[in-house]
Amino acid sequence: MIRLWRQRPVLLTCFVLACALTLFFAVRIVASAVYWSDPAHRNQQVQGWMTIGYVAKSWHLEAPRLDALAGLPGPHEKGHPQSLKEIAEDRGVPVAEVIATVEKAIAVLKQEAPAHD
Amino acid sequence: MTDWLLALVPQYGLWLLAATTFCSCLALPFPASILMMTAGGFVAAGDLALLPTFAAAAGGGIAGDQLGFWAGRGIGTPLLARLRKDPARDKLLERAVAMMDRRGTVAVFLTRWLFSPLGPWVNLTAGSTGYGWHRFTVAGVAGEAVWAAVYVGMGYGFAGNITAASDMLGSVLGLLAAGAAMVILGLWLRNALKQQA
Repeated sequence: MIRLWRQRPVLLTCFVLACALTLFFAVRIVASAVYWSDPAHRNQQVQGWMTIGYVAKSWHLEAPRLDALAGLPGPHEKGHPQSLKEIAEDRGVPVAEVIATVEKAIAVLKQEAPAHD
Repeated sequence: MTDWLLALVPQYGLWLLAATTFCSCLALPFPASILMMTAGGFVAAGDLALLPTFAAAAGGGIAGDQLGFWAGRGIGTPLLARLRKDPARDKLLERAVAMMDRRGTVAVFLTRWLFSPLGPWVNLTAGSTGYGWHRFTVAGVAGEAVWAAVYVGMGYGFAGNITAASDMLGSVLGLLAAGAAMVILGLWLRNALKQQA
């Protein structure tokens, strides 16, 4: 080993680095698996680029009910599903306002069926 | 810019996805991976259809590869011919071409998805060194299919959580790449040891 270190220091260093990196990623996979297995971590915060369908999927809710409760257009209204940003632009309101409406609706639906996941 | 692009996915869907993977295969800084995962999430939500989404992502990448390859052939070949007039350089380039010939298929395949940042450069190199178009295309199509399937699939599987999907996928691809490097370097070290003994 020492002889190898003397003769091929760069090669040995690279090998050790690759081993360390492999270990690092293996640990990271386990850590994220543990983190994401918690349902509370799985709900993704509502953002402007999302569609209602996407939000509903993320929060384990039914999209039509979320649509109805938040008073938003369904996915077929314009021939394509709309992002919250697009809905806000059509209505001429800030996207934060639409997001707030959706979040309120999520809270209501979650209260109706709290033990869903 | 990413959020702005993501918001356009439900609206322009497949064309936007194909255009993004196309551009990213030309080394333009477009967030293709996050877009493919988001599209997978939209598929899970029922806003996009699975097969067209996959086809758009892979198709854009395949088209981008072809453009890179033919650009390499058009611009690179005359440039390379001029460089090879110098005998020392000619020898070096000869070796590069031989290596591409031996390992090219694997290199093209892996640089589509596992080492994707290298992809555009491999396209140019393959084109300019006269690497066979058929072999390039077969390996390229297979690689892009894996690329699209992995990213769209992760977005679909982690339906509704892109952060989780990209977090997980980053680690898995990192593990694969680091593991491959570890094995190759390990074999190299073993050879070095054997030569001493």
